[in-house]
Amino acid sequence: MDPFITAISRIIKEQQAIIGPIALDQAKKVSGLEVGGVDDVKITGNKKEVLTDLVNQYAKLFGRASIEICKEAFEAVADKIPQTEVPDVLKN
Amino acid sequence: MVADEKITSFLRLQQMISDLKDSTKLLEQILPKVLEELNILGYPYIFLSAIFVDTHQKIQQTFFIDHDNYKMSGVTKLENIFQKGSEWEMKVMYGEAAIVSDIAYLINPSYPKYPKIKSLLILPIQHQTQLAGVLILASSKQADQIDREEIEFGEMITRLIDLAFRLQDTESSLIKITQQVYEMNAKLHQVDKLKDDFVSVASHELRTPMTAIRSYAWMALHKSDVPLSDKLERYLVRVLMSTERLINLVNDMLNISRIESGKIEINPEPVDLVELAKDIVDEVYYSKSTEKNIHFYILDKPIPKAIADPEKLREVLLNLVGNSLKFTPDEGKIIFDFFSDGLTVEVSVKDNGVGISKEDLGRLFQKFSRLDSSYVATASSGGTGLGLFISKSLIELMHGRIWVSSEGLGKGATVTVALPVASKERIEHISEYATHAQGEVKQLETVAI
Repeated sequence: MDPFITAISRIIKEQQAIIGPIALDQAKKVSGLEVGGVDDVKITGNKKEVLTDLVNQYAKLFGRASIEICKEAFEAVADKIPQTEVPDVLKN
Repeated sequence: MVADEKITSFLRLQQMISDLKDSTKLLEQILPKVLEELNILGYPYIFLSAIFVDTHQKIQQTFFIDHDNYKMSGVTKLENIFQKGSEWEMKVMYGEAAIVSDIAYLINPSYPKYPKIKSLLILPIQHQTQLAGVLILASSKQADQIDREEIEFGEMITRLIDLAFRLQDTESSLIKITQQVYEMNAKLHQVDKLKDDFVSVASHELRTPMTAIRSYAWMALHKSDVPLSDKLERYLVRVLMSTERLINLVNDMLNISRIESGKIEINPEPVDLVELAKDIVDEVYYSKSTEKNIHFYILDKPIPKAIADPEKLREVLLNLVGNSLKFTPDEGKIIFDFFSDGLTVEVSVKDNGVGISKEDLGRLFQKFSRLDSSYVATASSGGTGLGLFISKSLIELMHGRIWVSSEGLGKGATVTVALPVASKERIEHISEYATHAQGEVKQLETVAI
């Protein structure tokens, strides 16, 4: 499976565990991302940009703490994505 | 009286405030527009400064805008504002506009446009009756050229600025609160994960040695190669019962942890409740009910199938039958009954056991809800006080309801489970009754009877 899809699914799932269904609603607002459910994610735009925008979408509403949650969720797939493709916001 | 073009200008600004999407930067965006509109209307203001204060007149936020988008801090001598004493300050404090000619008192002479400024129109920004700040308009007109209409319009503008400030303040507070709630939730989530991990690890670590103790106790009791004294036999029976109880408790705790952390899946399908009840009776009849010679009755009647996860429903019904077996005396009876109103289908497990007092009925589905009247029976039968909590959680995951009724102590009890009827329409949309696990799917530990 595309590691970007996995990363996005994991991020949405983690956010969902904290904020509930709003996590999906926010993910649906990201352009270049089609979300039917946590396990039904399609990237139609630039993968790196979509991932960045998803993190920023949560950060805009929920602040710094939400970025940390995204980073934790991303960690498990970080080694499957080339470093140059990892959004700055998710780098430690 | 304020002229028409000024009203239009005011409404334009008002519209802009309501149209702005990011209220956190409302004033940064609206104040330059205010100055622009004022200039368009012919007021020769060189700059505009809005200073917001708290209830003790302590400065909270300041804004400075000039029409060349000149960025400079320190144009307004903030240290001289709200010093209390000057005539204009007293006027502003009482909610009146003031016109100041002595601009050197309030404006820094290093400001490049300082020579052009002839007067300052200072307007109080009020929120209800409280002073929320001041709006300073630096004019190239002499003080005596500022007329009543200009002041009135300025006062209208301050109301708009106050509205914008409140909106910005409310939005910022909301964001702050939202972020605080998020942080608290994130911490709770973390603690919850730790708790789940702890319960899971601790339970597994406990279960392994307990299983060994149970096995050896059973072997010592039943396969001993030396005759056991009555006393020793009694002790071993107690060891065995206590270990059983601990294992059941660990299993129930694991089940609760799995349900609460969303690790349990619900796979719905049409289930024949009568058939399921028959299976359960067959299963427990030979293992448990014969010990107490309890009689089972299944009031077989034509009822529609229910939408449920058969495995989870089986666990629930086993738990209910297990409870009835524990609390029904020798030679007692347990009756399965069924009912449907077309929308739901109900299965009831009725016994003629110890019953439940009215006061205890409400506590039954809580965790560790061992009732005083049933303690002895619970302790001797290996109950954990978690079974009904687990049953309720599972039934609710299956979109059903569960309740208990009893006429009182000594009059038996009836537990009823209601589930959605598996109608044609519901079967077509059966996935709506499914629950997907969050992360790794876990199975339920077997219910102890």
